[in-house]
Amino acid sequence: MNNEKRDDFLSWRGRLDPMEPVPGQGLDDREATWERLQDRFHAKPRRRLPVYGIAAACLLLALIPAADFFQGRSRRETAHPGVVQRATLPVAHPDGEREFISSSAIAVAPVAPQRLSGRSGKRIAGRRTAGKGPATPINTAAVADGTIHPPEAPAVPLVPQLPVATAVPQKKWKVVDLNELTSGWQPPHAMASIFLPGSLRIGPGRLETVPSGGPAPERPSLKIKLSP
Amino acid sequence: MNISEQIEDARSGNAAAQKVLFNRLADPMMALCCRYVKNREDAEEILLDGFYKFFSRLSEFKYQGEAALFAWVRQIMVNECLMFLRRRHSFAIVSEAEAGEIAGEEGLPPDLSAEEIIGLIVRLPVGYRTVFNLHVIEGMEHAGIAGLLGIAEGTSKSQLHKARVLLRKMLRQKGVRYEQRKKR
Repeated sequence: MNNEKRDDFLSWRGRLDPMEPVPGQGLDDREATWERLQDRFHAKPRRRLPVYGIAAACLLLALIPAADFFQGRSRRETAHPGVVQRATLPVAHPDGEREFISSSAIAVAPVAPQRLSGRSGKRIAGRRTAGKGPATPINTAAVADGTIHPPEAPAVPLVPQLPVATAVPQKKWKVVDLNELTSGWQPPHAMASIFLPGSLRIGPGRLETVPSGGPAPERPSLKIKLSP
Repeated sequence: MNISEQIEDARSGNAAAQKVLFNRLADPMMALCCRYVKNREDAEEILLDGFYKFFSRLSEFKYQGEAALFAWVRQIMVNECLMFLRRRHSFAIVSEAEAGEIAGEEGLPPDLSAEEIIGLIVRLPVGYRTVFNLHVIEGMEHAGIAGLLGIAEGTSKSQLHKARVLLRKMLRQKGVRYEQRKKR
Protein backbone atom coordinates (compact mmCIF):
# COMPACT_ATOMS: atom_id res chain seq x y z
CA MET A 1 0.00 0.00 0.00
CA ASN A 2 1.34 3.37 -0.96
CA ASN A 3 1.49 5.48 2.18
CA GLU A 4 2.74 8.56 0.41
CA LYS A 5 0.79 11.73 1.00
CA ARG A 6 -1.53 12.60 -1.84
CA ASP A 7 0.01 15.27 -3.99
CA ASP A 8 -2.00 18.46 -4.17
CA PHE A 9 -0.53 19.23 -7.54
CA LEU A 10 -1.78 16.08 -9.20
CA SER A 11 -4.56 18.10 -10.77
CA TRP A 12 -1.91 19.72 -12.92
CA ARG A 13 -1.20 16.41 -14.63
CA GLY A 14 -4.51 16.53 -16.41
CA ARG A 15 -3.85 20.06 -17.51
CA LEU A 16 -0.65 19.10 -19.26
CA ASP A 17 -2.05 16.71 -21.80
CA PRO A 18 0.93 15.37 -23.73
CA MET A 19 -1.15 14.97 -26.87
CA GLU A 20 -2.10 18.60 -27.14
CA PRO A 21 0.26 21.43 -27.97
CA VAL A 22 0.60 24.12 -25.37
CA PRO A 23 0.10 27.66 -26.65
CA GLY A 24 3.36 29.53 -26.65
CA GLN A 25 5.41 26.36 -26.07
CA GLY A 26 5.52 25.02 -29.62
CA LEU A 27 8.28 25.26 -32.16
CA ASP A 28 8.94 28.72 -33.51
CA ASP A 29 9.79 27.53 -37.00
CA ARG A 30 8.72 23.99 -37.61
CA GLU A 31 10.00 23.88 -41.18
CA ALA A 32 13.47 25.00 -40.15
CA THR A 33 13.54 22.42 -37.37
CA TRP A 34 12.47 19.73 -39.84
CA GLU A 35 15.26 20.79 -42.19
CA ARG A 36 17.76 20.52 -39.37
CA LEU A 37 16.48 17.06 -38.57
CA GLN A 38 16.85 16.04 -42.20
CA ASP A 39 20.40 17.40 -42.23
CA ARG A 40 21.14 15.34 -39.15
CA PHE A 41 19.84 12.24 -40.86
CA HIS A 42 21.94 12.80 -43.95
CA ALA A 43 25.02 13.94 -42.12
CA LYS A 44 27.89 11.48 -42.21
CA PRO A 45 28.50 9.90 -38.88
CA ARG A 46 31.65 11.00 -37.21
CA ARG A 47 34.44 8.64 -37.96
CA ARG A 48 36.16 7.56 -34.83
CA LEU A 49 37.33 4.30 -36.27
CA PRO A 50 40.65 5.48 -37.73
CA VAL A 51 41.85 6.59 -34.31
CA TYR A 52 40.96 3.25 -32.80
CA GLY A 53 42.33 1.45 -35.85
CA ILE A 54 45.68 3.20 -35.60
CA ALA A 55 45.87 2.45 -31.90
CA ALA A 56 45.04 -1.20 -32.53
CA ALA A 57 47.65 -1.43 -35.29
CA CYS A 58 50.33 0.06 -33.03
CA LEU A 59 49.40 -2.40 -30.33
CA LEU A 60 49.64 -5.30 -32.74
CA LEU A 61 52.99 -4.11 -34.03
CA ALA A 62 54.27 -4.05 -30.49
CA LEU A 63 52.75 -7.39 -29.56
CA ILE A 64 53.78 -9.50 -32.54
CA PRO A 65 57.57 -9.36 -31.95
CA ALA A 66 57.04 -9.88 -28.25
CA ALA A 67 54.83 -12.90 -28.87
CA ASP A 68 57.32 -14.27 -31.38
CA PHE A 69 60.14 -13.84 -28.90
CA PHE A 70 58.33 -15.60 -26.09
CA GLN A 71 57.10 -18.36 -28.37
CA GLY A 72 60.64 -19.05 -29.57
CA ARG A 73 61.93 -19.02 -26.06
CA SER A 74 59.36 -21.48 -24.83
CA ARG A 75 60.13 -23.76 -27.80
CA ARG A 76 63.81 -23.70 -26.97
CA GLU A 77 63.10 -24.48 -23.36
CA THR A 78 60.86 -27.43 -24.09
CA ALA A 79 63.37 -29.09 -26.41
CA HIS A 80 66.01 -31.18 -24.74
CA PRO A 81 69.05 -28.98 -24.40
CA GLY A 82 72.05 -30.05 -26.39
CA VAL A 83 70.23 -32.68 -28.42
CA VAL A 84 69.96 -32.20 -32.16
CA GLN A 85 67.26 -34.34 -33.62
CA ARG A 86 68.12 -35.87 -36.92
CA ALA A 87 66.27 -38.13 -39.24
CA THR A 88 67.91 -41.35 -40.25
CA LEU A 89 67.51 -42.76 -43.71
CA PRO A 90 68.29 -46.33 -44.67
CA VAL A 91 70.99 -46.75 -47.29
CA ALA A 92 71.99 -50.04 -48.87
CA HIS A 93 75.58 -50.93 -49.75
CA PRO A 94 76.60 -52.97 -52.78
CA ASP A 95 77.63 -55.81 -50.53
CA GLY A 96 74.12 -55.95 -49.15
CA GLU A 97 74.90 -54.27 -45.93
CA ARG A 98 72.39 -51.68 -44.81
CA GLU A 99 72.94 -48.84 -42.53
CA PHE A 100 71.15 -45.71 -41.49
CA ILE A 101 72.59 -42.34 -42.21
CA SER A 102 71.75 -39.05 -40.69
CA SER A 103 69.53 -36.62 -42.55
CA SER A 104 71.89 -33.85 -41.63
CA ALA A 105 74.55 -35.63 -43.57
CA ILE A 106 72.35 -35.82 -46.64
CA ALA A 107 71.55 -32.17 -46.43
CA VAL A 108 75.19 -31.27 -46.83
CA ALA A 109 76.21 -30.01 -50.25
CA PRO A 110 77.87 -32.53 -52.57
CA VAL A 111 81.57 -32.96 -52.09
CA ALA A 112 84.18 -33.76 -54.73
CA PRO A 113 83.94 -37.29 -56.17
CA GLN A 114 86.19 -39.79 -54.47
CA ARG A 115 86.77 -43.45 -54.93
CA LEU A 116 85.50 -45.72 -52.31
CA SER A 117 88.11 -48.33 -51.77
CA GLY A 118 89.04 -50.82 -49.15
CA ARG A 119 87.03 -51.36 -46.07
CA SER A 120 86.52 -47.75 -45.58
CA GLY A 121 85.09 -47.58 -49.09
CA LYS A 122 82.48 -50.12 -48.24
CA ARG A 123 81.26 -47.95 -45.55
CA ILE A 124 79.34 -44.91 -46.31
CA ALA A 125 81.09 -41.75 -45.48
CA GLY A 126 78.93 -39.87 -43.11
CA ARG A 127 77.87 -42.74 -40.96
CA ARG A 128 77.98 -42.11 -37.33
CA THR A 129 80.92 -43.58 -35.57
CA ALA A 130 80.35 -43.84 -31.94
CA GLY A 131 82.45 -41.50 -29.92
CA LYS A 132 84.50 -40.30 -32.83
CA GLY A 133 83.08 -36.91 -33.44
CA PRO A 134 80.36 -35.69 -35.71
CA ALA A 135 79.24 -37.46 -38.85
CA THR A 136 81.11 -36.71 -42.04
CA PRO A 137 79.21 -35.69 -45.17
CA ILE A 138 77.89 -38.38 -47.45
CA ASN A 139 79.46 -38.85 -50.82
CA THR A 140 76.51 -38.10 -52.99
CA ALA A 141 78.54 -38.84 -56.10
CA ALA A 142 78.85 -42.42 -54.98
CA VAL A 143 75.13 -42.57 -54.66
CA ALA A 144 74.75 -41.02 -58.09
CA ASP A 145 77.06 -43.43 -59.96
CA GLY A 146 75.47 -46.47 -58.43
CA THR A 147 78.26 -47.50 -56.15
CA ILE A 148 75.85 -47.21 -53.37
CA HIS A 149 72.18 -46.85 -53.81
CA PRO A 150 69.21 -46.42 -51.57
CA PRO A 151 66.95 -49.38 -51.08
CA GLU A 152 63.95 -50.03 -53.23
CA ALA A 153 61.23 -47.55 -52.48
CA PRO A 154 61.81 -47.27 -48.80
CA ALA A 155 58.88 -44.88 -48.58
CA VAL A 156 60.96 -41.97 -47.54
CA PRO A 157 58.74 -38.94 -47.11
CA LEU A 158 59.72 -35.71 -48.83
CA VAL A 159 60.15 -34.12 -45.52
CA PRO A 160 62.21 -36.42 -43.37
CA GLN A 161 60.22 -37.59 -40.45
CA LEU A 162 61.95 -36.55 -37.33
CA PRO A 163 62.00 -39.28 -34.80
CA VAL A 164 59.81 -38.67 -31.86
CA ALA A 165 61.86 -37.74 -28.90
CA THR A 166 61.89 -40.78 -26.74
CA ALA A 167 61.83 -40.61 -23.04
CA VAL A 168 65.10 -40.92 -21.23
CA PRO A 169 65.45 -44.57 -20.23
CA GLN A 170 64.71 -45.09 -16.63
CA LYS A 171 67.50 -46.24 -14.45
CA LYS A 172 67.07 -49.78 -13.33
CA TRP A 173 67.56 -50.16 -9.72
CA LYS A 174 68.95 -53.28 -8.34
CA VAL A 175 67.31 -54.34 -5.20
CA VAL A 176 69.94 -55.22 -2.77
CA ASP A 177 69.25 -56.82 0.52
CA LEU A 178 70.82 -54.91 3.27
CA ASN A 179 72.14 -58.14 4.61
CA GLU A 180 74.26 -58.47 1.52
CA LEU A 181 76.12 -55.33 2.46
CA THR A 182 77.24 -56.65 5.75
CA SER A 183 78.55 -59.93 6.69
CA GLY A 184 76.86 -61.75 9.45
CA TRP A 185 74.06 -60.83 11.70
CA GLN A 186 73.46 -57.32 12.91
CA PRO A 187 71.16 -56.26 15.64
CA PRO A 188 68.40 -53.75 14.93
CA HIS A 189 69.71 -50.24 14.63
CA ALA A 190 73.13 -51.60 14.25
CA MET A 191 73.74 -49.51 11.16
CA ALA A 192 72.84 -46.40 13.04
CA SER A 193 74.53 -47.36 16.22
CA ILE A 194 77.59 -48.95 14.90
CA PHE A 195 80.40 -47.87 17.00
CA LEU A 196 83.74 -47.29 15.54
CA PRO A 197 86.54 -46.40 17.84
CA GLY A 198 87.48 -42.79 17.51
CA SER A 199 84.31 -41.83 15.71
CA LEU A 200 81.05 -40.26 16.75
CA ARG A 201 78.19 -42.46 17.65
CA ILE A 202 75.21 -41.89 15.44
CA GLY A 203 71.70 -42.86 16.30
CA PRO A 204 69.80 -43.90 19.36
CA GLY A 205 70.62 -47.57 19.23
CA ARG A 206 72.41 -49.56 21.82
CA LEU A 207 76.10 -49.07 22.03
CA GLU A 208 77.37 -52.46 21.20
CA THR A 209 79.69 -53.78 18.63
CA VAL A 210 79.19 -57.01 16.85
CA PRO A 211 82.11 -58.91 15.53
CA SER A 212 81.67 -59.31 11.82
CA GLY A 213 80.97 -62.83 10.72
CA GLY A 214 80.62 -64.06 14.25
CA PRO A 215 77.64 -65.97 15.60
CA ALA A 216 74.65 -64.09 16.78
CA PRO A 217 75.01 -63.33 20.44
CA GLU A 218 72.51 -64.56 22.89
CA ARG A 219 70.03 -61.79 23.31
CA PRO A 220 68.16 -61.25 26.47
CA SER A 221 64.54 -61.96 25.71
CA LEU A 222 61.46 -63.25 27.40
CA LYS A 223 61.09 -66.94 27.06
CA ILE A 224 57.74 -68.58 27.64
CA LYS A 225 57.54 -72.22 28.21
CA LEU A 226 54.73 -73.52 26.06
CA SER A 227 54.53 -77.05 27.34
CA PRO A 228 54.38 -77.99 31.00
CA MET B 1 -4.13 8.06 -44.42
CA ASN B 2 -4.28 7.07 -40.79
CA ILE B 3 -1.38 7.16 -38.36
CA SER B 4 -0.55 3.45 -38.57
CA GLU B 5 -0.07 3.73 -42.34
CA GLN B 6 2.06 6.82 -41.80
CA ILE B 7 4.21 4.87 -39.38
CA GLU B 8 4.61 2.05 -41.89
CA ASP B 9 5.64 4.52 -44.59
CA ALA B 10 7.98 6.33 -42.21
CA ARG B 11 9.62 3.01 -41.33
CA SER B 12 10.45 2.45 -44.97
CA GLY B 13 12.15 5.85 -45.09
CA ASN B 14 9.39 7.86 -46.72
CA ALA B 15 10.32 11.47 -45.90
CA ALA B 16 6.80 12.75 -46.50
CA ALA B 17 5.35 10.31 -43.99
CA GLN B 18 8.10 11.17 -41.53
CA LYS B 19 7.30 14.85 -41.89
CA VAL B 20 3.61 14.23 -41.21
CA LEU B 21 4.53 12.42 -38.00
CA PHE B 22 6.96 15.15 -37.06
CA ASN B 23 4.34 17.86 -37.56
CA ARG B 24 1.88 15.89 -35.45
CA LEU B 25 4.27 15.29 -32.57
CA ALA B 26 6.67 18.24 -32.56
CA ASP B 27 4.64 20.85 -30.65
CA PRO B 28 3.50 18.66 -27.73
CA MET B 29 7.00 17.26 -27.41
CA MET B 30 8.49 20.73 -27.48
CA ALA B 31 6.21 21.66 -24.60
CA LEU B 32 7.43 18.59 -22.73
CA CYS B 33 11.05 19.53 -23.31
CA CYS B 34 10.33 23.08 -22.14
CA ARG B 35 9.09 21.70 -18.82
CA TYR B 36 12.48 20.15 -18.17
CA VAL B 37 14.81 22.70 -19.70
CA LYS B 38 14.59 26.46 -19.28
CA ASN B 39 16.42 27.42 -22.43
CA ARG B 40 14.34 27.05 -25.60
CA GLU B 41 17.39 26.43 -27.78
CA ASP B 42 18.41 23.59 -25.52
CA ALA B 43 14.86 22.27 -25.65
CA GLU B 44 14.94 22.36 -29.44
CA GLU B 45 18.23 20.46 -29.51
CA ILE B 46 16.76 17.86 -27.22
CA LEU B 47 13.72 17.65 -29.46
CA LEU B 48 15.91 17.04 -32.50
CA ASP B 49 17.89 14.37 -30.70
CA GLY B 50 14.66 12.75 -29.61
CA PHE B 51 13.16 12.73 -33.09
CA TYR B 52 16.39 11.37 -34.52
CA LYS B 53 16.13 8.44 -32.13
CA PHE B 54 12.42 8.10 -32.78
CA PHE B 55 12.83 7.72 -36.54
CA SER B 56 15.93 5.57 -36.15
CA ARG B 57 14.15 3.12 -33.90
CA LEU B 58 10.77 3.25 -35.55
CA SER B 59 11.31 -0.25 -36.95
CA GLU B 60 11.42 -1.59 -33.37
CA PHE B 61 8.09 -0.01 -32.48
CA LYS B 62 4.97 -2.13 -32.67
CA TYR B 63 1.95 0.01 -33.28
CA GLN B 64 -0.78 -0.71 -30.76
CA GLY B 65 -2.75 2.49 -31.00
CA GLU B 66 -2.13 6.19 -30.99
CA ALA B 67 -1.78 6.37 -27.22
CA ALA B 68 1.03 3.81 -27.31
CA LEU B 69 2.82 5.84 -29.94
CA PHE B 70 2.54 9.02 -27.89
CA ALA B 71 3.69 7.24 -24.77
CA TRP B 72 6.71 5.88 -26.62
CA VAL B 73 7.68 9.26 -28.07
CA ARG B 74 7.15 10.88 -24.71
CA GLN B 75 9.42 8.35 -23.04
CA ILE B 76 12.12 9.00 -25.61
CA MET B 77 11.87 12.75 -25.05
CA VAL B 78 11.92 12.44 -21.25
CA ASN B 79 15.01 10.25 -21.48
CA GLU B 80 16.68 12.77 -23.75
CA CYS B 81 15.85 15.59 -21.32
CA LEU B 82 17.27 13.61 -18.40
CA MET B 83 20.42 12.81 -20.33
CA PHE B 84 20.85 16.48 -21.10
CA LEU B 85 20.31 17.46 -17.48
CA ARG B 86 22.63 14.74 -16.26
CA ARG B 87 25.36 16.06 -18.49
CA ARG B 88 24.96 19.56 -17.17
CA HIS B 89 23.58 19.45 -13.66
CA SER B 90 23.61 17.68 -10.36
CA PHE B 91 20.16 16.92 -9.07
CA ALA B 92 20.72 17.24 -5.34
CA ILE B 93 20.78 20.98 -4.91
CA VAL B 94 19.14 22.14 -1.71
CA SER B 95 20.26 20.78 1.62
CA GLU B 96 17.80 19.42 4.15
CA ALA B 97 18.42 22.32 6.54
CA GLU B 98 17.46 24.79 3.87
CA ALA B 99 14.28 22.87 3.15
CA GLY B 100 13.22 23.18 6.75
CA GLU B 101 13.28 26.92 6.56
CA ILE B 102 10.60 27.02 3.92
CA ALA B 103 7.21 26.88 5.52
CA GLY B 104 4.57 24.78 3.87
CA GLU B 105 1.17 26.08 2.97
CA GLU B 106 -2.03 24.14 3.04
CA GLY B 107 -4.63 24.20 0.33
CA LEU B 108 -5.14 23.00 -3.20
CA PRO B 109 -3.41 24.88 -5.95
CA PRO B 110 -5.76 26.77 -8.20
CA ASP B 111 -6.66 25.62 -11.67
CA LEU B 112 -4.23 27.25 -14.00
CA SER B 113 -3.80 27.01 -17.72
CA ALA B 114 -1.15 24.70 -19.12
CA GLU B 115 0.91 27.67 -20.20
CA GLU B 116 0.84 29.16 -16.69
CA ILE B 117 1.71 25.82 -15.15
CA ILE B 118 4.70 25.39 -17.43
CA GLY B 119 5.75 28.96 -16.70
CA LEU B 120 5.79 28.16 -12.98
CA ILE B 121 7.53 24.80 -13.32
CA VAL B 122 10.28 26.26 -15.44
CA ARG B 123 11.08 28.76 -12.69
CA LEU B 124 11.87 25.94 -10.26
CA PRO B 125 15.50 24.97 -9.68
CA VAL B 126 16.61 22.10 -11.84
CA GLY B 127 16.47 19.42 -9.14
CA TYR B 128 13.01 20.43 -7.94
CA ARG B 129 11.79 20.79 -11.47
CA THR B 130 13.03 17.40 -12.61
CA VAL B 131 11.61 15.51 -9.67
CA PHE B 132 8.36 17.44 -9.84
CA ASN B 133 7.99 16.70 -13.54
CA LEU B 134 8.79 13.03 -13.13
CA HIS B 135 6.56 12.48 -10.11
CA VAL B 136 3.61 14.81 -10.59
CA ILE B 137 3.34 15.06 -14.36
CA GLU B 138 4.81 11.76 -15.58
CA GLY B 139 3.48 9.82 -12.60
CA MET B 140 6.67 8.03 -11.61
CA GLU B 141 7.30 6.66 -8.12
CA HIS B 142 10.13 8.00 -5.99
CA ALA B 143 12.04 4.74 -6.18
CA GLY B 144 12.01 4.90 -9.96
CA ILE B 145 13.03 8.55 -9.96
CA ALA B 146 15.87 7.81 -7.57
CA GLY B 147 17.14 5.05 -9.81
CA LEU B 148 16.79 7.20 -12.91
CA LEU B 149 18.59 10.20 -11.51
CA GLY B 150 21.11 8.32 -9.40
CA ILE B 151 19.95 9.88 -6.14
CA ALA B 152 18.55 8.50 -2.91
CA GLU B 153 14.83 7.97 -2.62
CA GLY B 154 14.73 10.35 0.32
CA THR B 155 16.41 13.01 -1.76
CA SER B 156 13.73 12.62 -4.40
CA LYS B 157 11.01 13.04 -1.78
CA SER B 158 12.63 16.06 -0.23
CA GLN B 159 13.17 17.66 -3.62
CA LEU B 160 9.49 17.16 -4.41
CA HIS B 161 8.44 18.63 -1.08
CA LYS B 162 10.61 21.67 -1.66
CA ALA B 163 9.25 22.03 -5.17
CA ARG B 164 5.70 22.08 -3.85
CA VAL B 165 6.55 24.63 -1.19
CA LEU B 166 8.29 26.83 -3.69
CA LEU B 167 5.43 26.58 -6.15
CA ARG B 168 2.97 27.68 -3.48
CA LYS B 169 5.21 30.53 -2.65
CA MET B 170 5.37 31.58 -6.27
CA LEU B 171 1.61 31.32 -6.60
CA ARG B 172 1.16 33.48 -3.53
CA GLN B 173 3.55 36.07 -4.89
CA LYS B 174 1.61 35.98 -8.11
CA GLY B 175 -1.51 36.86 -6.17
CA VAL B 176 -3.27 33.60 -6.82
CA ARG B 177 -5.38 32.50 -3.89
CA TYR B 178 -5.44 28.91 -2.83
CA GLU B 179 -8.65 27.01 -2.71
CA GLN B 180 -9.32 25.94 0.85
CA ARG B 181 -9.04 22.24 1.46
CA LYS B 182 -12.44 20.73 2.01
CA LYS B 183 -12.75 19.26 5.46
CA ARG B 184 -14.32 15.85 5.62
